[in-house]
Amino acid sequence: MSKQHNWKIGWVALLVLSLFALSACGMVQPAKKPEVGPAGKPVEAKPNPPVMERFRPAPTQLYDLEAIAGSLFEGINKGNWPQAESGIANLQTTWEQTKQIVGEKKGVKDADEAIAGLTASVMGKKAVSAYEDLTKFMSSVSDVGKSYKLSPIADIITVGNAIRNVSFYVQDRNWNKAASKAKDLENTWNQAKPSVEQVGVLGSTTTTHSYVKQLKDSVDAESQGAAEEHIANLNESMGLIREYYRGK
Amino acid sequence: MDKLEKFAADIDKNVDYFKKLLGVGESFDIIFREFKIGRRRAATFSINGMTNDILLTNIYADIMTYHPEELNINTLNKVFYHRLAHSQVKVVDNINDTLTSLLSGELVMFIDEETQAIVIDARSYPIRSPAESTIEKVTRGSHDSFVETIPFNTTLIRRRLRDPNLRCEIVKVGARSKTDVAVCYIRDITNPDLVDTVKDRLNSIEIDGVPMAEKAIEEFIVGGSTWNPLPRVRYTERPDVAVVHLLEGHVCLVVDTSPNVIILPTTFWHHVQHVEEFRQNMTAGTFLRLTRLGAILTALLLPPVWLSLVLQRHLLPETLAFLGPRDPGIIPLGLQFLLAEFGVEMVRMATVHVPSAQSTALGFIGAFMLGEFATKVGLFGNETVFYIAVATVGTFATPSFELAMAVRLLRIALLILVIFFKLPGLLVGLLGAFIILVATKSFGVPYFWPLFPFNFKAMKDVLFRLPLPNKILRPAVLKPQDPDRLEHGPQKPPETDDEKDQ
Repeated sequence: MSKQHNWKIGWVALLVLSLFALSACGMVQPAKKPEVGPAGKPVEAKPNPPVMERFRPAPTQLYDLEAIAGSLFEGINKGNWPQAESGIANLQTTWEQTKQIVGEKKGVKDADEAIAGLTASVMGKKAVSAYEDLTKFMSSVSDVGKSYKLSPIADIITVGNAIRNVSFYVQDRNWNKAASKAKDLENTWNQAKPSVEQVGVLGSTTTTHSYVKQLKDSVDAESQGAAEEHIANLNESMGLIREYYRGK
Repeated sequence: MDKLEKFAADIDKNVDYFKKLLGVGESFDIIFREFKIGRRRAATFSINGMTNDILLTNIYADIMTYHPEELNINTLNKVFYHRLAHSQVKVVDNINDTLTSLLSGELVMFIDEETQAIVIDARSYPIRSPAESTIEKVTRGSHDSFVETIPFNTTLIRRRLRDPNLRCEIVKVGARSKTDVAVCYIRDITNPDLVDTVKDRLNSIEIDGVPMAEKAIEEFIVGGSTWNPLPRVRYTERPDVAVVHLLEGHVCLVVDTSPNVIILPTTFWHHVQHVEEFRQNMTAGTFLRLTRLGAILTALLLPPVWLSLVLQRHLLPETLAFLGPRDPGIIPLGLQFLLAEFGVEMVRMATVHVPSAQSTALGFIGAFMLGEFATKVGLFGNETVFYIAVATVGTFATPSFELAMAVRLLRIALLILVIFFKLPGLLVGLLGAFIILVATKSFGVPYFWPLFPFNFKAMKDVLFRLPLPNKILRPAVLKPQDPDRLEHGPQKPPETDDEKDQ
């Protein structure tokens, strides 16, 4: 075998390996899911988006939805219904824009159902129902965000939801529920923290980590003032993280 | 008197010159001795501690008993041919060679009215016996290894290779140190162009001395970028390893004062093989080799790949979601890895530097410091400590210390790329590492051969420990004069130029 031929084989092998690595094994379609499981239907299955689409940055509207959700939740939580109504209007507008951009992705259908319920709850000024619908809506938006493989938007929304859960029960002074939600926030944050770590926002991730731990301690101690202070700090640090990634 | 000049017939001129040059009376270790051989005056120079006193006493006793009437004419030749019974004696006629011999530890003798000097090799170095190598240990097999004395090392090679074609040519390196470097090769196997290249590069070294011996020599002769972290020569302390490579057509450099013999040229795969594989049967040897390759790959890839995947965990299929850290610790994960690398290196260095009695205690402190307490106080995640520990074990499983260091540096570079650019950074880093591997050459031999350029037969030999009876071909990339290891009739001396003309 000639020397030149050997070099050619080597380069071809390198090319194949590079293509395989770049595709991140994503050429393989997921196995077909069963129609029903022991307790009913499994989660909705959607085919993988096209390979290149998975590596695009998440649309800025997803970050905007998270920001609006914060404002809307504040209105619901504090009984400030004009703020909540303004928030739901913003949320609907932004969601319509988002749908057009993201197309048919996993989570879109559920989000549509949730936002309809949320609108009704806010218009009916039902705080508990509105809080639950908002959580459901943002969970579905998080599912949409998971399609953007290189973006941490799904984790940012999940952590946001977990913070809202704690805040809701702290406001309600339901300490058992709040403690359970604080534990849930800690676990969620532990899973999400590596995804949001990036040079340029490392300070905010470190402070968020501290605030999550402190919030859990203050909820365990049933200290509403301290818990609210830590939630406010978390609002700031998570807001900074969200703004850092917006458009990236 | 010019250094290149011949000796004067007057012994006083020669002695004065050497006395001034060597600082007799200033340096305590330069020994000057005057005496008479018959009626002739004679003088010797030697270096204290580098000569064998008993041997010298015998030599002096022998030549001083000459009767004056026996030495009327041709004194030097009579002494040389009739009295100096020692086997290593030579007559030298110029100052330069005499000085080199003297400073190498030989005894120099001047006789009045003679324009030559007698050089007697009665050297007795501070030496240690060949003991087991501490960095190339084997369960079975020989336990001797090279030492710091060059003749001992060439002897260890010749004991295993009774081939008249084995050549050990001495090249002196260093204008002041005159360090002996033996260029060893088998005349009718090794590519003569390779031997010439090595000798040319050794001869072209311009430096006053090479106290760091083989490492300094390597940096002078290896060529290419000196910043390339990949080791382009292999070191061994084992004579059997050196002989295996000589038989393959490599050149071995035995550097005086060093127990490490340089093998060149080498490829990447030379650094991942260990003599232990050849001391086991084929299946066990192959298992050891593949385990070792896996360990090296793990050492290089595990931390950066894991970090890149957990930093962008949505890339992972759901079946691998368990990889994520349960409690990531307060310090960002990327920094945790860099700090852990720093900590492991600190512990390793400290363990090497402290006395062995303390190194075990230090190891425990290091392990607890890095592992137990760092995770307990919440600074580090458990996974970080685990993955860095696995990678460190993989590094230590690398037979070549030089390659292990290169792997560690590449791993740190990949970690930094992942910290800044996540998975794309890792892919670019791996591509960069691959390009470095492909572009690197060791004395003209592609470093990644036989994977790149691809050679199936040789690649098989690299991945699997093949049966020795099947290994009849020498590595083609070395362009050996004799391509196979089969016997080809009686060995003959090399032809002279005249014989070639006929």
